[in-house]
Amino acid sequence: MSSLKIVDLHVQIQGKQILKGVDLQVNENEIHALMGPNGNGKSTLLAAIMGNPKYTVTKGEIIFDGQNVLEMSVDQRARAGLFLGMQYPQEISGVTNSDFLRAAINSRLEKPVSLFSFIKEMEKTIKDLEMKPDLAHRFLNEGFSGGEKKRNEIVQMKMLKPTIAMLDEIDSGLDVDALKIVANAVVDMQKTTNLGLLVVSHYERFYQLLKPTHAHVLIDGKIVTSGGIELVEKIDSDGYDWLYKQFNIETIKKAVVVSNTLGSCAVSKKV
Amino acid sequence: MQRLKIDDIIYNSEINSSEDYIFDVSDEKAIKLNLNLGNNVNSNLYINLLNTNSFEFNFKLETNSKMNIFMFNQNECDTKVFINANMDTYSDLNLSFAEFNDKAIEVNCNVLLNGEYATACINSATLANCNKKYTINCTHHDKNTSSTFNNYAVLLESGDLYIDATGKINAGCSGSKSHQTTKALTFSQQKQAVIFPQLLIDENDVEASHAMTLGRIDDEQMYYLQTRGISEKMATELITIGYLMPILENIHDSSVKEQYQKIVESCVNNIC
Repeated sequence: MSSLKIVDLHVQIQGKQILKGVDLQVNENEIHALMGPNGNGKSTLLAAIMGNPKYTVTKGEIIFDGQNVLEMSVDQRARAGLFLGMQYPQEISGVTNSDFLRAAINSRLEKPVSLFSFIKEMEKTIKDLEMKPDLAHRFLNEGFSGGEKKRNEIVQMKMLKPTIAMLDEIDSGLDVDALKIVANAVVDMQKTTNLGLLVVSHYERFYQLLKPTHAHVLIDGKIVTSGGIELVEKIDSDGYDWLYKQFNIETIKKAVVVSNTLGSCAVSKKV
Repeated sequence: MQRLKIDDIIYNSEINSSEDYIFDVSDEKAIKLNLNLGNNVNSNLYINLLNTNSFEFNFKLETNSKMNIFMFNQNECDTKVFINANMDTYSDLNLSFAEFNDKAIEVNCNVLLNGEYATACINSATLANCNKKYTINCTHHDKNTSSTFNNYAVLLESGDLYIDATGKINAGCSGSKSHQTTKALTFSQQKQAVIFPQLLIDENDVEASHAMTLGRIDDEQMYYLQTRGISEKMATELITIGYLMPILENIHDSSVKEQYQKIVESCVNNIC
């Protein structure tokens, strides 16, 4: 059984400690919802698992199917079966979606995929995600709307067939109909391939469509509580305040805002 | 389409009917090709530089003639290329220069727009992993003439790229246009391209512009490609091909285009 195991993970960026000891295990056929207030380390966790060079792992382990992920390059992690659907997918001019995806698929194979079967699968996937048929010939994410970019991430996930996929706010920028299309595509893939999922989202609506088997809340670089779908529902109705109280977490104090003026310059004086 | 092997030191040719040609320039010596395109003739010319250390190409486009030249440098030695073009009234030139090989080159290109309404478009696509030097001049000698430069380059770790592109509009050449676009992308941490996009304008009633972008590949873009399993080498190849391959859009013959496409992919695969 495929599994991604994270043990006591500490991660920093530019000297600032973001993750302060995360423990988590995602097995195939499981859907994990990862929630938490903004700026507490959810995206950092996903980026660190994928190997984003901006982030430094200072302590802990990431084990994927018995392999030490921290010793692998980004592309090796992807070829091993990890996938990260990004919050802000990059635009790459000059590189078409089809050339990019063919190169990505071929990087996993000893013998290149035949053009016929590639085109057939790509056309089907594009249709499943209800995207425009010219997607294959357009440059990678260039000129795409926010929703198209997110749907294109799912097109890539379906084509690349990872074992464990991480989706970072893939629902942001999607309208109601697109949200259903994306959720259905993810659920369909999860059922047919036993995909393991780690999903970051702020919205219960998306989780209701995905029906996560596990839910976790990440605050101040640690997972403070875990549960099932009932945890998602509670956060949707009550927010995060109860967690701060229950686990005695100090909230970040608001910085005192000091307003700067231009002094007497441009200030009219009363005569 | 006629295929001719150019291995004489001086080769003179007159094209007086609208036909297409492939010239293979393939001897290890200095080759000079002199060509005249007659009035009202429309021709496509594909020039393969295969193994020559010096190639001089002088040509004239007579009134109302139209020529699309695609020069593909596949040399296995360092080389110097001299291009001199004279253009009469209403003549139309589309000159493309592509090179993806690992040999040094020095290109000197001079285009003279001598007749009214003569139009020249000069395109280049260069993969630089050694010394590549271009000096391109287009001089407007008559009214309502037009020149456009589109120069694209990708610079690799061992590349040195120098482009000096000058559009010159002489006094009295009213209604003329000179536009330049230069884009250079570098994968090198150390090397930068040196580019001089110049406009020398001696007339008030003209349109002229130059745009240049020069920059390193975005780390986030490389990361994005790698998150899909694409290695750094393959990502470099993909981006390079995406950046330079559009030069092949200037080829009208589909079989030539397909053949060149394979050569480009193979060259990029070898060099990147």
